[in-house]
Amino acid sequence: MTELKKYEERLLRDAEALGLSFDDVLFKIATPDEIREIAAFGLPNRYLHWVFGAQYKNLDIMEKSGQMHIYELVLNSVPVIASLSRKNSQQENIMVMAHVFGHADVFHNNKEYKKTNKQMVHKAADNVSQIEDLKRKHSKKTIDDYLTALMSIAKASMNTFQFPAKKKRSLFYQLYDVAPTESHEKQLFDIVREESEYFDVVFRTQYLNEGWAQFMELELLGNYLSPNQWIDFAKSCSARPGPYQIGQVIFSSIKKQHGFEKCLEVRAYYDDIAIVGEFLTQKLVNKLKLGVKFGENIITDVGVVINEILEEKKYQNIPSLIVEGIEKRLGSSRLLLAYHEREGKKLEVDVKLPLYMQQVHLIWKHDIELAIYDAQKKRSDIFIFDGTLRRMK
Amino acid sequence: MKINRGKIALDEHDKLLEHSKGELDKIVEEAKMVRDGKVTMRVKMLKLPTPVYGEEQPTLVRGISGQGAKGQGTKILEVLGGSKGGDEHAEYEMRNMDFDEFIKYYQKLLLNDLDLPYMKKKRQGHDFHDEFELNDFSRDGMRCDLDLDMTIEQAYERAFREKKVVTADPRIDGWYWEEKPTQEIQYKSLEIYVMDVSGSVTSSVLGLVRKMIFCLYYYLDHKYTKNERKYIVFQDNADVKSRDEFFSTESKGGTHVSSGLKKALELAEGYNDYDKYLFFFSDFENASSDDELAKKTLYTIAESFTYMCMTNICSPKSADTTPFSTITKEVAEKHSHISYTVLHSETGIREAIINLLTKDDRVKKI
Repeated sequence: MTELKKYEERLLRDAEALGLSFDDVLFKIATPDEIREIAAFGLPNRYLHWVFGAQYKNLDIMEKSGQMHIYELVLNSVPVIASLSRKNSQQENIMVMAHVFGHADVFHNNKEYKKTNKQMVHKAADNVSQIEDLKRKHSKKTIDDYLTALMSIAKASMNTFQFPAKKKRSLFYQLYDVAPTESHEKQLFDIVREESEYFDVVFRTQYLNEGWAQFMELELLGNYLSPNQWIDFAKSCSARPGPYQIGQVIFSSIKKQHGFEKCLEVRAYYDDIAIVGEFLTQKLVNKLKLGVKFGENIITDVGVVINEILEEKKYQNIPSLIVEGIEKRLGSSRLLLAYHEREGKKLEVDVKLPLYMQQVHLIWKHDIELAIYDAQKKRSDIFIFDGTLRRMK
Repeated sequence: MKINRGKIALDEHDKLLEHSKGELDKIVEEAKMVRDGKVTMRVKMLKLPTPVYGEEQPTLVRGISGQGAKGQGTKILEVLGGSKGGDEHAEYEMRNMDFDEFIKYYQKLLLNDLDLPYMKKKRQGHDFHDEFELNDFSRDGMRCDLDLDMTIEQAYERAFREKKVVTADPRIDGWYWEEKPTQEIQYKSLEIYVMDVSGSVTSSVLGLVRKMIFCLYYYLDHKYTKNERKYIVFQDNADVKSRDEFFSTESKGGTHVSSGLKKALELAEGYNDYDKYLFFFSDFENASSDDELAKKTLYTIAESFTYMCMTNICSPKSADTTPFSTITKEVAEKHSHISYTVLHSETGIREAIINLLTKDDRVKKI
């Protein structure tokens, strides 16, 4: 640790000399299991739910089958808390620390991250206490089921979080405002809303944040690595997930064309949609060997690649059901939902939709009507959910 | 105490899944279970129910070597996004899992299913390490680890910097656990697993034997710091195998129990400072010409091992009354460190493990 401390100080000085700035960064060595645990929950102390168990299982199996290794886990908090895996070699830890300074700089300077709650680690811990109290009062199953429903709806509505106009018609926010809730349900709504918004920023800035961190690794480690170490480093970088590579190549290209100052500006004011939309070129697509697979066909045109990334960023590959209104009838209120098909984006209605509607019904507590509009904006189908999903003839 | 919230959440997740052990039961009944040190398994995972698209969606991929080709000239493609679909709330994924990790994964399900006790963390120092992972899942909701030494100090610094007050709230500020290393003393076991692979062994029996071995691993791994394991398969002759071979051996030939016992005796030589265990699996349908020699060898071997578990894997339809099974029962009655179990079902595994936990003085101390 003492040796690492020396590198930490050198990297810190070099990062500041390049114009990076950040809150205090607290490095810790943690076991792979501790890191896996935090990665599964997203925060070190978050409420217990099976969904985090599924994530833990996935990470556990992926790591143990050699498909991945988590080198570090860094939290957007003040101070920034970075856990380094005890399994890392000294060289890997140096790489990881440079990477972490990149993240810490984004957390401190990016306009999206500036809006986040830097005390979320503590807030999430408070949420644990609240939820445990509610479980004691209302039964574990009641609270767990309500949380499952809220998290499902939040996940399916996440694509509207970033667009104020869409947000108004977003199912999650509409239910937040108008669903009949008891006080403990409102409490759960607040918790899920707060945590979902916190994690939404991470998703919206993945290419930018990971790309910048990997780019800063390259910038900072130039002073430290021998030629052989560079080879190891390059291999390690190429094995990382797509957004790391794509983001880093974009920042390298910005530096080449516009200088490092422009990179600092982009990391401060852009998100994934903006950075990919503006800076991903055909040349970079070819260099990164990117393409979009449509069945057996692979298209490598930059416009198609950008559209696919934006599609993922805007919709997360989840069909977006929006709220059209509430229909009052005979003392009951029917929630009116709509799905607008886009080309090639039909809704699966036989298996997943009934499961999802059950979740919405648990929150709304009354009937739900779902209208499906085809690409020509004509109403093509209507479903009613009153405990069972039925197609109206 | 180390509270692993990941494992508690995982337990909550797995409780909601049915048949997850059933999936693995099929794998352990496969003759060639281990290939290149890996076990291929289908992993079932629950996902939050959200709507999905009804048709296959385009996916972003990396690793194209051709330009705009119709799926040609492509190397291994890394899929970078896209919806996965699925036919139910739970989804399956095929994973190649390291055999050691597969065993650990399966052990947890087995122990739950057979209602067997969990053990403290591996023995270290003069006694067991005094911290252990939380396995009492009814204690969910507890706060995760507190490391007052390290994080509270930092909390003081932060509070002083921000509020000019030296204060810390362990419920908020302390969440990080730092393990303190302890000096390790070696407790060593030699475990010899002997398996009758004569023609009568069916896949379901094979599955039961493997499950029992995974349970034995669990308890002996927790008891000893070093577990030396040897594997023998026998029919007319006995052969020493690697672990992976042992778990991928097909059945053939007749039964000569004495060959397996003698080979075990040979392998145990020289392990003087080890506790020696013999786990013997056979249908006890020994060639009658071998009974006398096998009986003699059994009495000799009884003196050389710390604990022996003689397991009869005869078919549920047959009675365990072969001449050699009668001999074995007699020997077991005369020696408190030898147990005799009939393995017709998972109940037999439980019985064998309880015998190990109660009869073997060394394991009893756990």
